[in-house]
Amino acid sequence: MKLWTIAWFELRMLTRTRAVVLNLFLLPMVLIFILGNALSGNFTDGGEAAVEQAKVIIVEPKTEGTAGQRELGAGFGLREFLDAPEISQRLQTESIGSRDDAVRALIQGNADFAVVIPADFEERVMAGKAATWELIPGKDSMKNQAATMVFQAYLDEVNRVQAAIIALGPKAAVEAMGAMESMGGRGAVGSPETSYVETASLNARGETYSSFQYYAASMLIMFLLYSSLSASISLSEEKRTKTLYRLNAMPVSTLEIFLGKIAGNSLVAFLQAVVIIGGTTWFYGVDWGRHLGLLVLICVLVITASMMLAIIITLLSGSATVARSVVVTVIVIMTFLSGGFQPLPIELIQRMGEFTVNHWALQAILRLMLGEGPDEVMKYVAMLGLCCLLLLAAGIVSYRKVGYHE
Amino acid sequence: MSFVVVNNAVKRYGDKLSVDHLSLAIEAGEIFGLLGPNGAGKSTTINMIVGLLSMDQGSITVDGIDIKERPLEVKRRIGLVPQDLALYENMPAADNVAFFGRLYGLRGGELKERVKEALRFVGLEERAKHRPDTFSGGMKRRLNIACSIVHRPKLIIMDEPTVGIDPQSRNHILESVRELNRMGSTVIYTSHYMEEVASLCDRVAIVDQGHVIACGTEQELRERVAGEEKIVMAASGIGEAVLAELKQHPRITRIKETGNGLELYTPSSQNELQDILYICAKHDAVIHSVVCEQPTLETLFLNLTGRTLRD
Repeated sequence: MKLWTIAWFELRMLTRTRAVVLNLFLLPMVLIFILGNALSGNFTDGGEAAVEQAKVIIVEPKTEGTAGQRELGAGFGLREFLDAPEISQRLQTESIGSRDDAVRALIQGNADFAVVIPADFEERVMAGKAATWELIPGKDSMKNQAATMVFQAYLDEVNRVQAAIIALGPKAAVEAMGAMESMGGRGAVGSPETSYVETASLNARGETYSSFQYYAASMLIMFLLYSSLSASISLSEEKRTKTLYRLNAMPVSTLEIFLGKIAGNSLVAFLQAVVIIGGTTWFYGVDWGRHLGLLVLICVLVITASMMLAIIITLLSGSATVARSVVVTVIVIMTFLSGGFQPLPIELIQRMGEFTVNHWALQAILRLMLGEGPDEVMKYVAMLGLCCLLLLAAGIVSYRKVGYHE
Repeated sequence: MSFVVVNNAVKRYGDKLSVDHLSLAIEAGEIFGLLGPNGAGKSTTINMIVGLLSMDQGSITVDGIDIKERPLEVKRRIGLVPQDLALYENMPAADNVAFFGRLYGLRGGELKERVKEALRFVGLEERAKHRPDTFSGGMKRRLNIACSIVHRPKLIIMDEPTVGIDPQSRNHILESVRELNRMGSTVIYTSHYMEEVASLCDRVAIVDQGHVIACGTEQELRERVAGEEKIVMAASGIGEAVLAELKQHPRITRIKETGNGLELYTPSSQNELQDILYICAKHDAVIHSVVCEQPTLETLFLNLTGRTLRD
């Protein structure tokens, strides 16, 4: 009963301060709005991501062949490859005679990408010798990526042909290629059916989440973890203002005082979760999925982890200032590693992110948003629960070792 | 049996003995003063009575209950007024008092009534809805007391409650202590202000270096130093010859040199004053002022320890 008296008083104290209320309830809503709008380009609405057509300059020196002038690489079907509808939809090609002109066009922004094909390319391939193309990227990373992928696909096929030439000899290789083409086999150079990229979906229905959903989830987790900062400040302030001394002299056990304060901060955090989930649903139309019970469970686990972080750091830190700095640093690092600010395509960071509370909570909530079944979501919730158990154990050890008194 | 019994209490901090086999017996309904310089062990003793510190040795009972065996029962009977302000500055005064009242088990109408009563008692009834961060230092001290008496404790412990406040608030607090005592509470009052303790307390224990060096009523303690009065003399030109002759005087017990003169201790200042003035004049010392002081608790402390309370 006294525990709830302390918890209720804690809740009242926190919600009385205007700055705290703004930070707890208004700031997350504003951040979700800003991030959801500003970074919406990094997300799709469930359809395929549109990549704009790239203007590519091909530098191919003209050479005299038996049939007069002919294009380099013709023997490997480069022109057919580039003219195929799938490719021409993504790349608009133009031939230029010199590398300098191509570079100038890239600098001036008249082209997005350039490819320099050496004059003896075909001969070297046919002779089984090393041959290289020079790919010169332009200013748009997305278009560079698209053009590189296309030309890489073409060169992979050239490599395959060269391997066949080396192994079987030029004549046998040409026959083998012809047989493949007559069979309509996939993978022939220039075949319009060639496809090296498959578009996959996050779930069976092909749905994905919007930027608002992503940031609503990541900000919910980050702000719930930030409640550990309030808890840490509250635990320290009780010592600084000497009210802990008075409380310790009253007929209340130290554990009741401690748990009361943690319960009060947890209640505020839970209230914050309700406001964020409700607010983003009503104002931004965020769909949090159909399993409200699981969403509540995830919030409870994140709040538990948050409170345990506050306990461990506050009790083990030498001063309140150090504790606050450590809490903030830990939360920011965990949010960054888990992709909470922006999804990160770097594998090392993703690996490190798997050791954070945010990762498992975020993945669980995103799966709820995608309408996954409880079994799938529970895999992530279980890992989140494991993180909480570890933090709980560390929290109990810290309390037993240090205690909570003046 | 005494209401509070401290029996042979010992508290060590590493090698330092903070409380050294200290014993006290405080009767129900009295105002008991703990007098001693800073670091004498007063606060440590109080913390052990309240159960905030464990003893290394000895025992303490309050109202017949052993603090080690039933600490919460003992705490329920005590209202501690801490030396430092212990208030929630951003919560209204009434909410502060009500919160502590709830933790003592008060609820509903009874709690409301007790909160009003406590605030009225310290003269803050009209400021009930104001936050302590808008209060003066004295008002905060009074609210600090209100938070400790809301549950009408049998034993009120006040640890230096008048430190750093204006005379008006100080008088208000001292009068409050008397009133609380008249209402039936036993009071333990610690201070290093001798005059405060002397005027307020029924009995006084003088504590130094962790143990009680004297205990009794003010009258009893004065009688222990009745044979010694102090003459404070502001003078210039006091040389070795003056000091040597004064030291040879058979009825001057001690001489202490101060920055601007001398302090002399004698069984009767009036009898010896003429001799002292004569010796000074003989050696051409110039006397600016002379004050004769009756023995006080300060004198007793000095007598017992060779130091003043504020040393």
